[in-house]
Order: sequence, then structure tokens, then C-alpha cells
Amino acid sequence: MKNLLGLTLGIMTSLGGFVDIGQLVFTMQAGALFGYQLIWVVLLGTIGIILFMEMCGRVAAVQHRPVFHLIRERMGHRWGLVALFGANLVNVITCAAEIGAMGIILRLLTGWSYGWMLPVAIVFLLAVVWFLRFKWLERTFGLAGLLMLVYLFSCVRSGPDWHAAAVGLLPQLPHSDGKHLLLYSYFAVGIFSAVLMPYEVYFYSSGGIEEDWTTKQIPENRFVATVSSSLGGLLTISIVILGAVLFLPNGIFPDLLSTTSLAAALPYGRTALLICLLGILAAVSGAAIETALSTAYNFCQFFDWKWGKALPAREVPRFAKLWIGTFLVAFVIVMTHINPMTLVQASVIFAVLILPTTYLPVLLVANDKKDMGKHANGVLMRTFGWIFFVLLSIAAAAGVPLLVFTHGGRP
Amino acid sequence: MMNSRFAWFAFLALLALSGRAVAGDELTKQDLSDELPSIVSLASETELFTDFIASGQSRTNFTREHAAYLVDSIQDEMKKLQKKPSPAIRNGYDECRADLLLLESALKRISDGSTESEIHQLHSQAHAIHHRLSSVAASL
Repeated sequence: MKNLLGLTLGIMTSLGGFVDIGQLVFTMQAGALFGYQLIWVVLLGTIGIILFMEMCGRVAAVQHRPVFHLIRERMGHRWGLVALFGANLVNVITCAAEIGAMGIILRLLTGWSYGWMLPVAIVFLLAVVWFLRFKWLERTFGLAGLLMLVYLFSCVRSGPDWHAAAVGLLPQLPHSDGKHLLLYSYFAVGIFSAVLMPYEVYFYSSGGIEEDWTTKQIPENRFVATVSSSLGGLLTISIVILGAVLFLPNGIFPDLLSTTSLAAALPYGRTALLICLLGILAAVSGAAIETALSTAYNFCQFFDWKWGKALPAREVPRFAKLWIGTFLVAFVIVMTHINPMTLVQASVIFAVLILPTTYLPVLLVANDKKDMGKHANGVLMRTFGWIFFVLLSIAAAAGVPLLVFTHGGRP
Repeated sequence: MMNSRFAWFAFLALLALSGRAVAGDELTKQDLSDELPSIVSLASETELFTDFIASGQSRTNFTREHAAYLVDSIQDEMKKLQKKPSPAIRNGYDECRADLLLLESALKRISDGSTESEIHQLHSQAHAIHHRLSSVAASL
């Protein structure tokens, strides 16, 4: 019974933390521009995140080695440093975007100015990470993030064309001109990257080590990674559908965060609007925390410094300075009044660039029988793992050119 | 060899920049048709938003702040339309600017004290602006 409760909690926590600002913005815009046609990318990204999360969790349980330790070991110090720099740059940009989103949502909730809400957000984040233990951080924001399920209910209520949505699960190309095709490809890469945001995996793997996972936790890891990501994928699909039902017919391109919350409110009204705003606030706060802690995890794991959220700050001073520093740098970025939506775009497109470099070392270790023994990838997982690496590399190569050619995804 | 390659690269970069500068003097038909989807989207969203407020389902702070965000977006669009239009698009351009100003003024009138009839009036106005801007977009 206790195990079942633990599993349910694990699934709910991961599900609540699945959607962040990048996913919310990119998927709703994709629905508003292409209707149901890009749902298959969410499905593909969800399969990818299940693979990546499961392998990271399994390696953490068997080897007790986190992602950036493996990166240094498999790629060497020099190339590992490049991956470390890239991954943490994306983390800081993402953290700034999430803090900016917190400012916007607090403004929509309270009516106070965005400039004042940003310091409130950063003080709140510093305080909760300082005072709350890892487990409670995960649970508090994960469970509060479940309020985002309002999108799922609003999607059902909005009366979508279920047949078209089912057809959207299969890859398809739009029947239109070159410009439209470029835009379609840009959003395909954007959604793929947003579903796979790598900080989630660094955080998940480091959390496994913090919680002392052993090989006994492997089935639980597989179950939680599969079920929570599948449900998270479903929630993401519902956001695409809402964009398709509410915005596409009206020719609205939702490039404001407040517009994306309006989508959840239109079918249900006042209460749904409040739930949605609170859900987004929890989701973006949780994501800001994950990105800041991930940056600290990555550095410490790469340089073999002592780390752990469970340890007092005086025992892990570098780790504590790193997550505090990440919050502060992100805060300075967002205080320049750069549009958080621009930061979202940069973080999502640059994340896909570094994804292959962080995915490959994990895949190599998970495939390695010498390292993993009987827990190494079987034939099926190896095949999927390599197919997925090819897809990631294609997306990484296409991301930046598409960003340039589509002028940042402008319709 | 290296120097001549660099000189070619610098020349091409300058050419591209000067091309942009020349193209930047005047708002072309292409520029306007690139901006119109965003402009029509703003008009359409204002129509949807005022309908949502009229239904009594919005929340006070959200109404005021979302309206303010839409005003910011309209002002961004106005900045993009600051260049002198080419004669061929003069009418469409004038209509866009006038409608954007009307939309901005409509959104600025949304306040905590707006009555139901005022909101309905704003909704009708947003509907008419949306319709006109869609016609401009179709005519380009």
C-alpha cells in the first residue's frame, strides 16, 4: 500500500512538472497555426523523453553516476566542457524565462507591476530552495503543477474534432508553399525540443542519486518515467488541440502568456482562469528551481565537487553558490525587461543544439554491458536509442537555421 | 589568398547591409503583408477577449492586465509601421494604422468600472476592426 502511494505520488509529481513555459507557448502556437497536424511531434518527443529519463534513472540506480559525470568520462574533458557550457547556458536562459513568466502571472493575478513582481519571484525562489528539502520541493511544485490539468478538461469541453486529432498522431506535411513548410518545420523542432528540455533529465537523474536509488528501484523508475511522461504528453497534446480549436479559426497567434491562459478559461470561465494562472505559476516556479539546481548539479558532477540538496549549504558551499548564482544571473537578465517569450524561444531552440551531446554519453553507458551488467539496454532499447539519437541530431542541425529563416517562427 | 577571401566576405557583408539599408527606407507591399497576420491576430484576439469579458467570466486584474499587454503589442506593431509606405500600398497602410489606433483606444477604455453595455460596444467595435483588417489583408 505504501509502495502504491509512493508510486502514485511519484507519477503525479513528475506529471505536474512536465509542462513548462516553453512547452505551453510552442505547443499552443503550433495548434493555432497548424491545427492538429503537429500532434505527432508531441508523441515522438514523449517517446524520446521516456527513453532518456528511463536510461538516466537506470544508470543512476546501477552506477550511481549522474549525467555530467558520464559526459566527462565518455567525451573527454575538453568536449565535456563544451557540453557543460552549452547545457548551463541553456539552463540560465530557461531559468530567466521561467522567472519572467512568474512575473507575468503574478501581475495577471494581483494587478501589480511586472517590475515589482520580479523581485518578489526571486526572493520566493531563493527562500523555498534554501528552506525546503529536495523531496518537499519536488512534491510541492509537482503537485501544485497538476492544476495545469485544467487544459485537459478545457480541451475536452471545447469540442475538438477527435478524428482529426487522431489523424494528427501520424506524421504529415502541410500542403502549402515553402514559407509555410519552413514554419511547420520550425514548430516541429520547437515542440520536440520543448518536450525534451534536458534540464528535466539532469534533475531527474540527480534526484535519483540524492534519494539513494538502487537496482531495486529500476522497475519503479521505468514505471514512473513511462506513465508520468505519457500523461504529460497527453496534457501537452490537449494544449495543441486547444490552440487548434480556439485560436486557429479566429486567426489568433498566441504570443502572449496571458493569451495561453485565456485558452483554458474560455470553455469554463472564471474559476478555470484562476486555476490555470495558479497552475502556470506552480509549473514555471518548479521549472525555475529545476534549472537552477540542474546548473549546480552539472558543474559539481563534472568537476567532482561535493553536491546534494539534502546536505547543509556549509557542507556543499560550491553547490549552494552555484544554484544561488544561477538564480541571480537569471534575475539580472530578466530585469533588463527582455521579453520572456524571446527567452523561451532562445532556450528551446538552443536546448535542441546541446541535446545530442548530453544524450549520447547516457546512451553509450546504458548500452554498455561492462558498466551496466544485466541492466544494460536490450536489443530493442538499443535500436530505439540509436534511432532517437539520429532524430535528435537532425533536429539539432535544423534548429538554428530554421530560427533564422522563419524570423523566429513568425507566421 | 586569405586576405582576398576576407575582402570578398567583407564586400558581400557590406552589400547585404547596404541592401537592407536601402530596403529599410520604405515600407513595401511585402513588409505590410508580413505584418498583417499579427495585426489581424491582435484585432481578432481583442474581439474574443471583449466577448469573454462581456460574458462576465473574466477576473478584474486579468482583464486590466491582459488589455495592457494587448496595448503593448499594438504599440509594437505601430513601431513596425513607422516607415513611409510605398505609393502602391498607401490606402491599405493608412487603414491599418487607423484601425490599430482605434483598437488601442478601445482596449485602453477597458477598466474596472466598465459597464456591460460599454463592453458590448467595445466588442462590436473590435469586430468591425477585425473585419476591416481582414479585408485589407485579403486585398494585398
